[in-house]
Amino acid sequence: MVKLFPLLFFVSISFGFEKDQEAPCNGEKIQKVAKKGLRSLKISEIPSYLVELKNCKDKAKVKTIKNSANEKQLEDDAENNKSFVGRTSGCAYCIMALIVYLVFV
Amino acid sequence: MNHRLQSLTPFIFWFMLLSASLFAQPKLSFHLGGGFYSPTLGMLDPDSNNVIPSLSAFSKNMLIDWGFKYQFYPNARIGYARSNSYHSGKVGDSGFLRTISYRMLTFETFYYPRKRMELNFMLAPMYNKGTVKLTAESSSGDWDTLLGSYGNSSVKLSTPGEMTKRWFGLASMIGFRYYIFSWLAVDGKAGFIQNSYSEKKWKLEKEKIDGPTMNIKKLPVFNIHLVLGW
Repeated sequence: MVKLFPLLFFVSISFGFEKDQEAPCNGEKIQKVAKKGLRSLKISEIPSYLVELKNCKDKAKVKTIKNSANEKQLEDDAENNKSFVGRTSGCAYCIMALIVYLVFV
Repeated sequence: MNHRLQSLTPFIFWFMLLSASLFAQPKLSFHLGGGFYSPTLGMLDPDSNNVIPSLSAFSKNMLIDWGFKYQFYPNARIGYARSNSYHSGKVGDSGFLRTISYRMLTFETFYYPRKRMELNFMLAPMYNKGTVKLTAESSSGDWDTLLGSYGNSSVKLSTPGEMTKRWFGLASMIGFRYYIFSWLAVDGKAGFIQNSYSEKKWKLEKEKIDGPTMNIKKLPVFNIHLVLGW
């Protein structure tokens, strides 16, 4: 029985959110994603975000929200990871050198 | 009291791990996929050893991959990945199962040359494991006597035996990842797996024995994975 407590705890956290009945297409999580991108959501916030999307009855708007969130995140990722300098690039050059060595030896 | 604390330890560990995953902003990704390679299996191949059951291309050349990675730095991830090769069949009346697990502690750096496209470079120390398992089905006279005393008929018992071997290795791979969505991507990798395998010192029931002479010192490998991540 004691072992069930954490499970109940996580389930209640994951699904224990409030529904924003007045502005279902403009909920807290949807706004957060629009401003900061999909990855700004914690894993525990994902169910709330999905339910906010589900509660939004305007399906065309849901599609627009999803697409723009996806595009924004892809653009942010590309921007944040476009440069490749320092230790991480040094590591990559080592791996390339090792692979070239293994190809020819 | 001490016993109770010991039984709670794994529980506390998983609780903390789950808590961290739920409340932090982890950049976790999971992958599932397959790989292609061409090892020389030596005495584990029916061409060189007629005891071994027939071997399909899946069993010889395909790998089943899974793993997870955590982005701990803007351009770097660490994780655990596993590539498994399976071969099953019959040796006489016994079930035969051969497994080779390439187990990697991955370190990967990456960058995006363009939107949706990622180039990644992976180096992974490996601790691999090979197992050969035979499961024989036979009846036991003593069991039959005991069961017979209760009015039962003879029952066939399965007796498994497994020989294992562990060895170190190193994987180095270059990959290209295409993001379909920000949380879903297809990742292809090419590179080499190097193994320090020797046929000596396989273990069977704590006995040290000689195993198959596989030539897997340097293996070119191609992988394709579906990556799910947040």
